[in-house]
Amino acid sequence: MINTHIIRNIFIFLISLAIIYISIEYTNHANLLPTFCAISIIIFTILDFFQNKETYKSKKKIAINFRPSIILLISFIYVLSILFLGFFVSTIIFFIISSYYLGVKNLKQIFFTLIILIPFMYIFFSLFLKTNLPKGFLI
Amino acid sequence: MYIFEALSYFGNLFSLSVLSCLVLGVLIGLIIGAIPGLSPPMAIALLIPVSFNFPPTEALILMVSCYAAGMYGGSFSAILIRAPGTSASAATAIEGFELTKKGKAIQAIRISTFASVLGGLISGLVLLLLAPPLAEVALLFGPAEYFLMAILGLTAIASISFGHIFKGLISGFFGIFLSTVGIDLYSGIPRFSFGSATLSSGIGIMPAIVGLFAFAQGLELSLSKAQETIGGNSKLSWNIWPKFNEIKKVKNSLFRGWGCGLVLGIIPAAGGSIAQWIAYAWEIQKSKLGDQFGKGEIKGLAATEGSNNGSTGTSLIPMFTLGIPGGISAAVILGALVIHGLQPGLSLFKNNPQIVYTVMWGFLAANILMGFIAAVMARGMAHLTIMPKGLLAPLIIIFSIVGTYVNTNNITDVWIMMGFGVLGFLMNKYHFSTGAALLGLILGPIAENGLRDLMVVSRGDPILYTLQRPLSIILLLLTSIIVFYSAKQFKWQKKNKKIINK
Repeated sequence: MINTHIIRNIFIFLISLAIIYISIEYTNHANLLPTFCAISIIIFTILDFFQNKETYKSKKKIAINFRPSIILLISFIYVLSILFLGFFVSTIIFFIISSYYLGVKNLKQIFFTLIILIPFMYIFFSLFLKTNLPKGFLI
Repeated sequence: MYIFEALSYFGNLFSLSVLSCLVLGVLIGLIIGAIPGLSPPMAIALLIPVSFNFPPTEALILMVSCYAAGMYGGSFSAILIRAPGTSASAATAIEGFELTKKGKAIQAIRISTFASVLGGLISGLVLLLLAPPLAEVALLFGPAEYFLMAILGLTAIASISFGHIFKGLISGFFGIFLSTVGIDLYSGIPRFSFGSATLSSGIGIMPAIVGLFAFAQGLELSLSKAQETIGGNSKLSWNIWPKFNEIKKVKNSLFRGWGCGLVLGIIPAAGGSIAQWIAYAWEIQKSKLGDQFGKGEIKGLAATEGSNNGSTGTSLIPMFTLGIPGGISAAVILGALVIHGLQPGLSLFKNNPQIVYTVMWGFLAANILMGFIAAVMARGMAHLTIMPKGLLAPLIIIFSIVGTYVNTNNITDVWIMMGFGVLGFLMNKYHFSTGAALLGLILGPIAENGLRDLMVVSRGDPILYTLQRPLSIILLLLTSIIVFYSAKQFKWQKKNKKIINK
């Protein structure tokens, strides 16, 4: 079984190599700093490996929690829906779904927060700052 | 002579219009500063159209008070929910939030308020009384000094890595790499932009900060139980005024923080964003046995908060006296100055002393007023720490998204911010330093441009050129001292770890 720390280091290595490869075509010293950074990252990753050998040898299973990934996915859909549905409607839907998913079963708490949040956002962003919050076919 | 002249304009402050502008500026600054993604420069820019209706003195007072309060307002969200409102309060989030988790949110806000108000006042007094002579210091900074200042700032990475020095360095170099994304100013070559127009203009500091700290914090909170709170079950105290014992404990940290802020504020392009990290690193170097840096150390908070507001007044010195803005906020205020028909430079002090000195007095008054208004606001905002994490996580995500969008009206910045959020979440999980990455992103362009300018002005002999400049030698010595102490501290930590393991 490969340790997650090793997978992480392989990923860092690949990114660094990609930076060096892409930098090759830059002329007029434009490649110097990115290449220097990538090489430094590779060196320090190796040094970190030798400094924390015990961590890398550890076969302790890490419990995977999917909640951040689901919240990230919901946030992703939220940003897309802002452009489609409009900011305020999407925000209400996002807040209800995400807090319910995270375990807030008391709907009063959710709606009470929304009653404060939405008017605050409207007054502050739309009326006071006069910013153009994205509008879809709703508000 | 100009000291007496400056004092003679104090009375101008006491008119209804000036006082109203002061209150309005402070209120707007505090609210905007506290929302992640919304920055003081943005607040000041939004105030420019409003200021057209006011005479120049009132208009400029509105802006400088918004600037001072905005800088401080960023610390509220940094301390309470680890979502820094401004780039200058990113370091505050490290110790501030740890203190909040220990149920010491109000104590953290007390010290932050004291450090910020007094830092702003000292900085304002320096601006009022010593602006013209200190402006010459800013002129001493050439490419060599900028490059060395960036290197000095980068040495802070070792200190803020908290024992994971190589991971800190990896994070720092990754941050510097990210700063190279966009069109290279010297060759005109777009680097790592992959044909994207947004990436061609580089990665903005604001989406990076909001992502690395605020959005990542939203994801982190989603791991907890819904009804848990950040501050545990601690009761909120009403006492916002700091106690004598608390101030006594952090007095040296405050002086170091204010010192960093005052000096770095004068240097154009440095300011609070860099001063906070240098002050924080200095504080860690000075740590004693029993100090808990990275786990909620009030001394670290005092230093960072003292430094960022300590830089606010002095960052206006080159703007008023030379027409060189010390930072983005100062650049926007400079624009407003010109719009109102005023010419920055020493002639401003000769031709319009009543305006320039009244504005400086206004800046001082804004710092005092900010303390009082913050005392009222803090109690309300501290309720965030007793809010269920199940509600707080979506709220942080919503404000991160809307704050980033409103800042540039560009949805691509929101995607970049979310990318940084995922990166920040993973970095925290594997003990990489988000602070070091941010420091690299801020200092990368200063270091690169400084080095490339240095190569041009030194005609290929940068070492000889640098060694001929006294200010460069001072910066070199400072960097060497920090590297020496960092190495010593690293050895000491290693030794301690061995003893503990035994």
